[in-house]
Amino acid sequence: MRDWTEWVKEHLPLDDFEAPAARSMVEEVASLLEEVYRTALALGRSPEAADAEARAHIEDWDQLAADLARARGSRREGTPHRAAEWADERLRRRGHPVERLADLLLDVRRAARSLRRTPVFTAAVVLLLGLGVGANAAIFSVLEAVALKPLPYPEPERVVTLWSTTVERDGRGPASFPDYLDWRRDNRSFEAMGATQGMLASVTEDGVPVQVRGARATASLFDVFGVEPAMGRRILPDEDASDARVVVLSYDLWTRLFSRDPDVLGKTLRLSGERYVVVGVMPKDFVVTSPWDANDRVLFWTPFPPDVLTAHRDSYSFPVYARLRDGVSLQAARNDMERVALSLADAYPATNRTIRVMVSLLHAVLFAGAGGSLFIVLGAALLVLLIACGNVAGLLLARGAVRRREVALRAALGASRGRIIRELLTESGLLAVAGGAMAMVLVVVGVGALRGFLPATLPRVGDVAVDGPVLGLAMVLSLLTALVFGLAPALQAARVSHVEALKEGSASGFRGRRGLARRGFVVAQLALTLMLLHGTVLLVGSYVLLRQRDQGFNPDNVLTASVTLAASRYDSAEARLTFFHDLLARLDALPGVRQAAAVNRLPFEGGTNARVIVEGRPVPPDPNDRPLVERKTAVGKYLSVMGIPLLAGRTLEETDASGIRGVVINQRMADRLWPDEDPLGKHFAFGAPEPEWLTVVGVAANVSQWGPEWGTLNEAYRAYPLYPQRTMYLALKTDVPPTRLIPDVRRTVLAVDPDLPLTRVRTARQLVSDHLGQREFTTTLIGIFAVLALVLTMVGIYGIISYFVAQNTHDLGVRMALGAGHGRLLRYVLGKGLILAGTGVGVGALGAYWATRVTRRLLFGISPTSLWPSAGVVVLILAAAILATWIPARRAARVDPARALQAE
Amino acid sequence: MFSPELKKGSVELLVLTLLEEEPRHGYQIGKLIEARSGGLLTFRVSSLYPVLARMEERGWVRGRWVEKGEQRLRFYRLTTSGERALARKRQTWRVYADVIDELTGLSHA
Repeated sequence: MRDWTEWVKEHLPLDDFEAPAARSMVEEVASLLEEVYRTALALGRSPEAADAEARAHIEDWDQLAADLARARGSRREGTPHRAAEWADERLRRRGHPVERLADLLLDVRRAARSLRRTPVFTAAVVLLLGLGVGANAAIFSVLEAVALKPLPYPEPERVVTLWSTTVERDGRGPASFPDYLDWRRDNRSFEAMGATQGMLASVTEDGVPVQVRGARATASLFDVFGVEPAMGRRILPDEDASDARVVVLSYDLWTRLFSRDPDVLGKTLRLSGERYVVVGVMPKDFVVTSPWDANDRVLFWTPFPPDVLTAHRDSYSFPVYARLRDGVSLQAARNDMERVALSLADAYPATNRTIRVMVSLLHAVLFAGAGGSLFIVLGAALLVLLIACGNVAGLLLARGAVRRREVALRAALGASRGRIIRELLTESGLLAVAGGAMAMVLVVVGVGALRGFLPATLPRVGDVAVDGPVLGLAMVLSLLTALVFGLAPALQAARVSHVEALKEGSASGFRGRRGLARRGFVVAQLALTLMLLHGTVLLVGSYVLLRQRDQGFNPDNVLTASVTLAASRYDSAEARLTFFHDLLARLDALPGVRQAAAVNRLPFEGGTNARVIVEGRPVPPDPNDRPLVERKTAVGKYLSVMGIPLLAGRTLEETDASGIRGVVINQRMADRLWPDEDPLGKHFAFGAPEPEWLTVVGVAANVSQWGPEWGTLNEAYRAYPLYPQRTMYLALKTDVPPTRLIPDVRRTVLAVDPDLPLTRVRTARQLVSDHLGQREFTTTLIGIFAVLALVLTMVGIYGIISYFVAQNTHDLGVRMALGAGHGRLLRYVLGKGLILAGTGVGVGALGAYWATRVTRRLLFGISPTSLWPSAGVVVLILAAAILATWIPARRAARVDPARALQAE
Repeated sequence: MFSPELKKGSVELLVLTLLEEEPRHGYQIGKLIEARSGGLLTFRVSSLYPVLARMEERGWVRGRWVEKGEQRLRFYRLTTSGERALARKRQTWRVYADVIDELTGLSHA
């Protein structure tokens, strides 16, 4: 046992321990503490616990010294005692940070003790805070990586893309090279502008040919990004449009192909068989991607060849990037480019009359789409947080009510209002820290889980990780939540007149301002849950409709892959056709393959289109008035491989490359171009000046070209020699699970051309889910949040009705004693719950109606205001409310009147 | 009028009441109040002891060291002046409680 006298002397700040009065004080305090210690030991505590318990009895030595000094002086009331003065001075000097910290620690210890006494309450609040905050922080960390993080260039907010668009701005695309040169010359807004053109090249990695994405680039493109090479140099201005065979490598490609060889400069790299000299390596964090796909990184850059200067003004295939001059706003740049586009329209009316320029921030181009739906998910997570906050606030208010008597007694015994508020807030703070810690754990776990099911099509999906700022955010959010929602109950508790509180049995949690606050929280929870559930039902409905929608083809047992033939080796349509004949014949012969074919674009993968003229009809002078048709070309029985039904006529034959030039068109094109006629045998042509007429020989079913959400467009399949594309997709109908054939297919391709890499190997099923992936992800997460919200709200309703029943046992007993039957009491309590639910549903319906403005763009085939989803959600909420009310209501109906009245 | 010390006075009332029955030592007083209030009123040494010191200073109670085994405990007993103080405090509290009852009764009507 410690020497308590020594311990008291150490801590009690008295000016003179030898004075008889002081000695007696020290001795008595020590003896009291010793008694506490002995009592604790006698109750079976360990010596350490007993010691801690005794020490906890003195919370504030300065205060004790002041109280004792004042007690000693109390005989001579009115005359300030020297010791009391001295002790008070010490209390005033409390501003010192160290002493404040000591005070805080004291408060924290007291709060921790108080929370330990109510483990269920504490666990519930920590869990609610952790769930609400953790869900938000986890989603936020995905959003940050995917959509918020700036691009890795200096002053990235100045980097823009320039697109060709039309007067109506009904679409955007790359620029033509002559337009780019004029834009660059005539603009006043950009300090640099560069053009690029994607190129796929095969390189040899570890002895295997692989396809990599690179780009032709003007020297000025590097000025746009403002990044210097880590090694060597960039493309030089005099290498623009030249035969210079030089290449600048990305850090990635340098690592993959040269194992970060420091002497790589001057070495040769073979791109699709052609030799290039490595002149530079870009730094590690320099990332440029395709403007259409932020996950498709450009791995090398080479200069444009001379023939780019002869590119046509209506050949649009050059993405253009630019850097805004310092101080020039995006809008100013847009106005400037409108002026440039109008002058070009005057100068080149044949091609540019309807062409305008669209200027967009590169960040927005790459990330706005994915960011949009993630923001909606974050919105759903925020609703869950608000609902959890409602529960936390409800719990704190209930705790405040239960502790009213305790607080009132303490106030009666002289604790100041400030002191009580401080203590209650310290409790909230402690809960917040625990909730924040719980949230951090959930963020780490949640982001780990999310990484497993994030759609691969999400931009920068590989960068998703938990970082410090997100964890900090979790803690701050948790603290704010607990303090804001803890403050109201604390103020309320401190305001309560202790005399009123001391009166037994009269407290009713359902009446008065406190009751109003709690009911308000529950109504808000119900309303938020209704909004979330309504959104979820609409999203799930959209997803199901999309899944069930007939996409025009049968994705079962189909393997697809892409090949890009080297232009140098396959320089004629014949050479390419020979290659595909050879390859398809070998693939057909593989065991497990039923049929093989090739096509230039798979469904959902977009395509290229052109305007057509129809034989025997006047040619509209403005090309914009001619119908647009998607250009498809196929080798082999593509329609039958993909299960696209032939509706009329026949499929393509080898002979359709010449002679009548047979084409198969889709149903939509037949309906649009020949609405009341038989399309078979009709003629049309791409390009007006000297039309090469094509003959419709068949009509196929519609397939959606741009993804499941999009409608179908006009489409025409031509024989391969008429449109000999170098990049083609292989499609194989299989008798076995398609993925099993991948190694065989790879071997077969290499047998025909040992330098040809096989890329984008997927089953047609994967193709579909890639396109539904983001929607699936969004829908799943919002669905999880909606279920969470529903559960939390039911807990909230259950809590308030239980509390009502507990607080009104006496009242209910009186009713029963006066002859109210069980049924009537049950109805009475259920009625209380239903009034809450009804109010919540009313408010929520307004909120849900408002929220459809946000979710509308995520919906497909379902109107945001359609009746059934709304009615279903209302019924669900009411059912949940009744269920949550039922248990406490039954308890109320079983109240024993005798006991309830006795309790008074 | 009620003295502004009334709040703190209620602690004194409780302690005096316990000492009226028999002399007790400090920690015993705290424990008894806690037990009889069903745990609602708890006292720490740091808040109880100054009250005892104050009452002793005023002459309402008298403390005496008692050897009990190896322990020394300070027992307090009520003085005559303490008895008078107790009677006064009881009276004040009763009036106070009645007035409050009446006032709150009015406010609830």
